[in-house]
Amino acid sequence: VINKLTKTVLAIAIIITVVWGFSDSYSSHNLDNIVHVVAIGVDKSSDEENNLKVSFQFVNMSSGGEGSSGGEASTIVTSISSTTINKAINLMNSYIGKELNFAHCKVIVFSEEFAREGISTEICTFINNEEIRPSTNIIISTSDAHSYLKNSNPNIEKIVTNYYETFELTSNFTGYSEDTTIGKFYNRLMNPPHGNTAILGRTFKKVSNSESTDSSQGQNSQSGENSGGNTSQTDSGGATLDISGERGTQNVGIAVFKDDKFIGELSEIESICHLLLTNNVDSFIISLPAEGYPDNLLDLNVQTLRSTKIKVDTSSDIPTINITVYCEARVLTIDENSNYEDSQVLNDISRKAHRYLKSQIENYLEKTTKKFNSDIAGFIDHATKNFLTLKDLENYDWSSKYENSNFNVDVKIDVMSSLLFSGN
Amino acid sequence: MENTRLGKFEAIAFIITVMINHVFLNMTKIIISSTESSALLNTIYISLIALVVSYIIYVLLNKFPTFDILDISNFLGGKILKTIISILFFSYFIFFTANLLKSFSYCLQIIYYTSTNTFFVIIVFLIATVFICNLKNNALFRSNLLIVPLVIISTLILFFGNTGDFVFENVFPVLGNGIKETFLLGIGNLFAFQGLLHLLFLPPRLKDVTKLKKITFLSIVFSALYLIISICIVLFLFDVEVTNSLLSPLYSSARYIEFGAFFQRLDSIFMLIWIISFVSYLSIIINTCSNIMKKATHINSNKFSTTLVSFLILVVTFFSKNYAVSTFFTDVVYKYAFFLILGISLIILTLAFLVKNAKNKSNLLSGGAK
Repeated sequence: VINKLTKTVLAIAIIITVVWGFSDSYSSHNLDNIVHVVAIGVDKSSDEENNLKVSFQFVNMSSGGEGSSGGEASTIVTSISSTTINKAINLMNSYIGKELNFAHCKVIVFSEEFAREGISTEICTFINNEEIRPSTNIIISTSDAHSYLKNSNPNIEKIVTNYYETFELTSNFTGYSEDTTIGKFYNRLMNPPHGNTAILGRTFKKVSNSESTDSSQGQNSQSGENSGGNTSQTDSGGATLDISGERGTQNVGIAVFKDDKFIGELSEIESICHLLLTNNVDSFIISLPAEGYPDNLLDLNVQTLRSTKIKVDTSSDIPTINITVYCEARVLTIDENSNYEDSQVLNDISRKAHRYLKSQIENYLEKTTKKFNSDIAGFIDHATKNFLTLKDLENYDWSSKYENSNFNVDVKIDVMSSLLFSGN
Repeated sequence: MENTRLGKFEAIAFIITVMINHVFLNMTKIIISSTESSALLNTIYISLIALVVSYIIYVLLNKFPTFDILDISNFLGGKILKTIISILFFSYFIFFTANLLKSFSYCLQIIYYTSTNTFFVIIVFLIATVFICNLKNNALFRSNLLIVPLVIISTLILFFGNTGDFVFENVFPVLGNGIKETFLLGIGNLFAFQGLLHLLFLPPRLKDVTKLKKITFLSIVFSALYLIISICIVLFLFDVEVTNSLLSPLYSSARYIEFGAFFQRLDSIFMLIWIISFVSYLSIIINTCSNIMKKATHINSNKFSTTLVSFLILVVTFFSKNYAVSTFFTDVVYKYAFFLILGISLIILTLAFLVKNAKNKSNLLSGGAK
């Protein structure tokens, strides 16, 4: 009887201890006490004392959502000025009355202006937060981050997080942007000879509003700036992009970093070249200048066949980098004069594609060496095998020598056929 | 009748478990931060040394079938030596395990129980282990035999799931910080093979002592393969500086795994497997310490000894005030203690081997003279 009583008392004591010890963690993780942040924006603040403006994007669950039968869930963007990211989070906790949870944070946006001064402190702060996933995307917005978040209302997906999850997929089949995550960014930041990149985001200012749609009304009242409908828009970052749509943001191009500072951007075709060299694109479309075709342009759907071969020779003070790209392509342009069953025609197109891609890759390499002097393609990784010890590698001083690198680019591309029809 | 002896596979799983938890918590970090890009080369090198050391242990132990290091100490130096060796092993296991428990609980606190004191996480682990240690019919080692394959499979998933993000060139420059750091100072990483110390307690616990050779060889080979795979995951995925700053690099690598949009946040499943594995490890150590205590003293009650060992581990966890102290103990104090104990054990085994050989010869001579 005494043994049974002891066991019962012990069991009760254990239960009480566990309940007492873990109840605090349970309460803090309770859904009623937390609010999920889906995106964070970081801007420079006009406030002299609080130099940081941090914006948080939340999904407005009351407006609909994945589980509801209604329309899209709109987003709420709230900003706060502070001295540090952590202080901003705490202030926002206090303002909202709930604890911010970043487990579903998909995107961190930095304004171009802010990123030019360096973002290493902020990146380290975010990576140090257990709730923020390494797969969270990093975007450099040509306008301010707050506006980017306000205009990031999904127009096809029901909720904004689904839209943010498409970045990886689209970069694979368009080649227009890179799926840069905070994990990769931090990893490269800690490895200084590496250049760094991020997604380049643009916010559009509405030029005309010819139509309005019912579905856009709800979300646009939240976004404030973009009242929806089919709009012809211009890029606030400088380049003109003629895009009509209800979402006021577009991610085309790549933001280039040297160390932790934003130093420039890559255009669409340069982004394709970058992704080709880093093996991060499966397929993309290029328009070759070609006489005799409609509009003197020939569209090709290019697919990468195997990983790009890169060999770096560091035997002299000027590194020589040999690059071989392996692709195959299919012709997309077709008209009544096309004849893609003739191997002569296909060979001719292959030669044109070879010349075009080779020159584009050379232009891209020229830009990364002479203009940016930032090894964003990570050639240093291929150079390390030439050294026996880390000290040898350090003595070679890759960072200073990369600028003068010589490149030998070879593009092995075969045009296979057209798609469904081969012409006459 | 209660079955307390270990079968071949149970014994192999026992040795592997000891290493797995050490590797998960801090060994990958220690190896990569000390050797940098030559971590893989160093791991292969120390694996070969571990195989040689384990073979030496086997040869020496084989002379004393059914004897463990305590019995051999007793044979060589009587009760005094036996007591000294018991105290050495007992203290090492208690302090080292308490440190690992503290690190693991700290890791769990940061990830899941931010508002809970680490003490409660530790106490839950210890309650679970005391309960397991008192289950009959070798339930502890049998359940461990189920857990080890699970951990190995999860680590393989971790490896193949991350291959897309691997930078294989991280293995270059192949000699890292130099030949001296990789091969001479790098021997210190033999510390990863904690199972070598546990091999010394294996013979009397085996159902069939003749299988000791197979058990020794297979357990060290599997442990080495596990360590190599773990090093590959961390080395190929992270920069050295990143590895150095992470709580557990293997857990961080689990956070990178995503199989499409559907299978995300798999780190929770990995963590669950590692928690179960850690409870199993803790139970094995408490069981070993309890056996040492029973051999060195007149205590016979299993319940009492396991409770006492658990309590001692709980007390020792308070010694490391913060994570930096805990890391210092693992990187420096326990590393040297490991080599000290392994060295003393090998000396005792060698001397006992020589003494027994000499006795056998004299017996043969005296038998021949008769």
